[in-house]
Amino acid sequence: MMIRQITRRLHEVNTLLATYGQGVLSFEQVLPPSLFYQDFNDTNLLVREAACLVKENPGQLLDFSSSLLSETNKYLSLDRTPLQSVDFETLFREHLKPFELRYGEAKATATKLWSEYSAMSSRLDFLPLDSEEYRSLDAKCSAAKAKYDVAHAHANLLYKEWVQERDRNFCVWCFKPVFLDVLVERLQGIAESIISDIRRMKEGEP
Amino acid sequence: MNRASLLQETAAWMDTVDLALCLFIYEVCNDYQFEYLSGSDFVNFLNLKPTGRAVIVRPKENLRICYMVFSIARTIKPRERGKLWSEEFLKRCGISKSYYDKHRSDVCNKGATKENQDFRKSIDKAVENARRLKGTP
Repeated sequence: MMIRQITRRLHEVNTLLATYGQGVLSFEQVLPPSLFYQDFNDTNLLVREAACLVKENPGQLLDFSSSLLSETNKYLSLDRTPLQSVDFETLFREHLKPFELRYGEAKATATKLWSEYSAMSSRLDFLPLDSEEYRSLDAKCSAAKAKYDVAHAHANLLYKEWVQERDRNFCVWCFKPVFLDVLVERLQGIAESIISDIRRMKEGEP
Repeated sequence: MNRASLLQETAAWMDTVDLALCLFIYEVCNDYQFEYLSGSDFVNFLNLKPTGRAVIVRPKENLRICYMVFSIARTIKPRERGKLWSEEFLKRCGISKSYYDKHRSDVCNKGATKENQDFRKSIDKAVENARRLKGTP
């Protein structure tokens, strides 16, 4: 359930902001706020979960909401300039560069092996089938093809890794600090409303 | 969720337009199609809720706003809810339904100006980004 995790995750973001010293935030440091926004931007889900939990365990919901309110208050009181000065798009691109380079190198190696294999294969077409040269080249050609297959599979694997990493960190690429500010303001409002609703229920008001 | 649930005040936080989409649209339209608004006010405005300050539509922006409304409405399910949302939102912007029906896709026309073409691309990208962030196909 989102409601059980949200406070702990926001606490991580608050810790980062509170303990951040000087210098530029790294990719690893900007991941928690970006992932927090990605994972918890569906505030409708939070409202639905609260509506279910209030029937099962209103005391627990009150605890969750009080903790969430406390963390949202903390976030909104912290200095968020470190986040505001980050170029998220550039950090994302820099993080992906090694993946792109590794794939590029593997692809170049595979392409070279393919050219070698291809040249041998073309030469085979012009040799008599029963000649010694054919038999010798045929063996080399098979070996070259096997080498290419391995390199090609390796390049494919690195390509998948690159795409996976790109998709996994999409939240960093598209992140803007104002997104998190608005989300936290809404979480604060929702937590306050839950607390107020539960208080009203306890007091027996309609 | 049952709106007449135990958490009445909390239920008022339910949104029609997805928060992530609201904020990607905010990046495109705030201070351009609308006078400057805070992020929270913009989200409230798109969700037909009260805002801290009055929302002002900038002159000569109705055509672009129509495309924005058209694009957002298509993300709201079920379709009928999207239609109702667009009708109510247009009222708040002072745009007539007949104008909307006639011009909602004008920025997609072949003869659209460069500014309108760029606006269309930005709105399409905002919708696409919100979809990708949600991880929906």
